[in-house]
Amino acid sequence: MTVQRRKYPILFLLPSLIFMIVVGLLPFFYVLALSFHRYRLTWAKPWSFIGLDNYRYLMNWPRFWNSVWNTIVFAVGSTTLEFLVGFALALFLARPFRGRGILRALLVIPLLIPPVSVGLMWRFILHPLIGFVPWMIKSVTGITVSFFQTGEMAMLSLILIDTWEWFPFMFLVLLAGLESLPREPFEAAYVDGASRWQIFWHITLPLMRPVIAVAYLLKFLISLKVYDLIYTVTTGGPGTSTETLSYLIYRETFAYFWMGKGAAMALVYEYMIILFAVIFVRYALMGARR
Amino acid sequence: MADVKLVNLTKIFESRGERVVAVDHINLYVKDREFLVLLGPSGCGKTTTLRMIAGLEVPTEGEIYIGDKLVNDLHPKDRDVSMVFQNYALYPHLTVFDNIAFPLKIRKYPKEEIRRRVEEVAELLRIKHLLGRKPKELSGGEQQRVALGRAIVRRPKVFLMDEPLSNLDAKLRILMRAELKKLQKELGVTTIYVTHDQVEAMTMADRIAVMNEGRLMQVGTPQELFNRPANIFVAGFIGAPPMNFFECEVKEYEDGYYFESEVFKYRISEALGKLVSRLGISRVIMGIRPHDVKVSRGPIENSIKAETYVVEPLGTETILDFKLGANIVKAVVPPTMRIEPGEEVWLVFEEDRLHIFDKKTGKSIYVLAGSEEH
Repeated sequence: MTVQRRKYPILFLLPSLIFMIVVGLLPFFYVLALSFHRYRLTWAKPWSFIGLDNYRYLMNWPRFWNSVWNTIVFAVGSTTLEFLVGFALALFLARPFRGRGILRALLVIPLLIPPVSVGLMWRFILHPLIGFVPWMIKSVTGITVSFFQTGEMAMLSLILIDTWEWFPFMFLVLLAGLESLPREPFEAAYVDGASRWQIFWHITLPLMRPVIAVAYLLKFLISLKVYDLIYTVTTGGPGTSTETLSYLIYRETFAYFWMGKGAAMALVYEYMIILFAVIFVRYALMGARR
Repeated sequence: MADVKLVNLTKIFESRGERVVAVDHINLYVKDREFLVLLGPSGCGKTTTLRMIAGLEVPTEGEIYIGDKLVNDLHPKDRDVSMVFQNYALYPHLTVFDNIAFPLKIRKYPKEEIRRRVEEVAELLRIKHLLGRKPKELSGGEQQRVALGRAIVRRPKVFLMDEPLSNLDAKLRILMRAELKKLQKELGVTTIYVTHDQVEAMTMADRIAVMNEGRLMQVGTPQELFNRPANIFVAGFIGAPPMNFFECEVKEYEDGYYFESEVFKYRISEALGKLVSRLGISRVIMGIRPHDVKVSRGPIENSIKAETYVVEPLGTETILDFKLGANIVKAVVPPTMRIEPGEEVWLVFEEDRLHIFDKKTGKSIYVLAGSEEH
C-alpha cells in the first residue's frame, strides 16, 4: 500500500518532469557549457575550452555595459510611465458612467496588436519624412522634431511607443485590483471626513500596494526582455544608444555567430532578471502579507 | 450636540428604466441626545435613510437638518456625523490606534492631542491592550469596539449605526446591547440606530421608528408601539411570538354587537360596537397578543372552542398552538398549565386586550377614532 502510494505520484509526474528536463534543464546546461568555450559558427574549428574568458571579456566590454544600462533605462522608464497612465485611467474608469464598457474595450486594443506591427506602425508614424506626427508638429509649431536622430530622443520614443502598447496591461490589472477592494473602508473614510485626495493617499494607495507591486514587477520583467520593439523601430541605433541586452545578444550570436560569448551574455542576463524578480516578489509578497 | 430633522425625505433609485422608491416622503424628528432606532424588515429603506443622513446617498427629494443646519449639500466632513458600519469597515492596513486616530489625523489635530484622545477612548472601550494590532488579529467583538472607538473619538454631533451588532454571536450581541446603550447615555450623543431585530430595538431605543416599504409606519416609545400599534404592520412586527390576527365582520343583533369570523362569533361591548359602526367599518382585523390569550379547560361565557395542536415548553413559559378553523392561534401560558396536544380548550379574549384594525386601511381604530376627534 505505502509503496504504491509513493510510486503513483511519481509516475503521474513523470511525463511533465521529462518535458521540463528536455525543454528547460538540458538547454540550460548546454548554454552553460557553451559559455565556457570559444565557438564560432562560421569557423571550422570545434569548441575550444577557454574557462571564464568569455565572462572576463564581457566585464571589460563597454558595449555590453552600455546595453545593460539601456535595458534598465528602458524598463524603468516604460514601466513607470505605463503605471502612471494605467493607474490614472483605472482610477478614472473605476467609477460608473455611461459608455464605460465601450471605453474600456477601446483602451485595450493596443495590447491586442502584435508587437512587430506596433513597432512598424510607429516607425512610420514618427518617420522624419513621411511620418504623421513630425508633420503635425511642424505645421502647428514650425519646429522640426526628429524622433530617432539622437540617442536620448530615440530612447524616449521607444519608451513612449512601449507605453502606448502596454499601458492597457497596467490599466486592466489595476482596474481589477481597484474593483476588488472592499467598499466599506472608503465609505467609512468619507463619513470620517476625508477629502478625495486624503482617501486616495490614506486608503486607496495602501490597499492597492500589493496589486501595484505585482503589476509593476510583471511589466518590469517583460520590459527587461524587450527585443521586438528595438528590432523593428531602431535596430539599436543611432549607434548603440538604444541597444538593449537582448538585442546585443541576438547580434553577437546570430549576426556575428559568436556562440560562446552570446551564451555567457545570456546567462548574465538571466541572473539579472532573476535578481530583480526575487527583489520584487519578496517586496510584493511582504506587502500583501502586511 | 444636536437634533436631527428629516422633512419629506425621499430616495428613488433608477437603473435600466426601473424605478425603485426606497424611501418615500419620510418626516421624522430625532431629539437631542435621543437614542432612536429605525426598525423594519430588510429592504424597507432604513439603511438608505441612514446613508442619506451620513451623506453617502443623495436624497431625491426632501431635506435633512442637523441642528438648525440644512445639510443636504454638505460634505460628510461638515455634517459632523460618524457612522458605524454593519461589517465595521475598519482600515485593514492600519493598526487599531491608527484606525481610531484616522478621523482626527485627517483633520490635522496635533499629534499629542490625537494620542491623548485615542487612549482615552481605548480606555473607555477597554481596548487599550489592542492598540498596536491590525484589524485582522482581532475577534469580531474587538473589531466592533474599534469601530465604535473610531466613531466616538471625534465627539460628533450624531452617531449613525447600521446594524452594528448583527455580525456578533448571540451571546455577545446581548452583552453589547446593554453596553452600547450605557455608552450612548454617558456620551449623550444623538444616535440613530438601524436594525431589523425588534428585540434589539425594544431593549435599546428611547423611541422606535418603524419603517415598511419606504414609508414610516409609526414612531413612538417601545411601550407605545407594543401597547398601541397604529396599524397591522407594526402590530405584527413587534412582539414575539407575533400577534394573532382574525378577520371578522361587524354584526349588530338584537342582543348587541358581534365580531363574526368564519369559525367564531365573539360578542363585543356596546361602546366598542358603536365606535366601530360610527367609523363606518364593516370588516375588521382583530388582533390579540399570545400573552393575552386566556386558556380555559371548560366552556365559559363568550369563549371560543379550539383544539390544541402543538405544545412548546420553554421552561419559564409554554407556547401553545391551537387550531381554529384554518387558523393557528398562539397562546403563552405559565408552565404549570399542562395541556396535551389534541385536547379541547376554550379561549378567552378580553376586550381591553384586543387590537382592532380597519380591514381596508390596516389602521388601528383607536388611531382613526383619535384623528376623528381633532
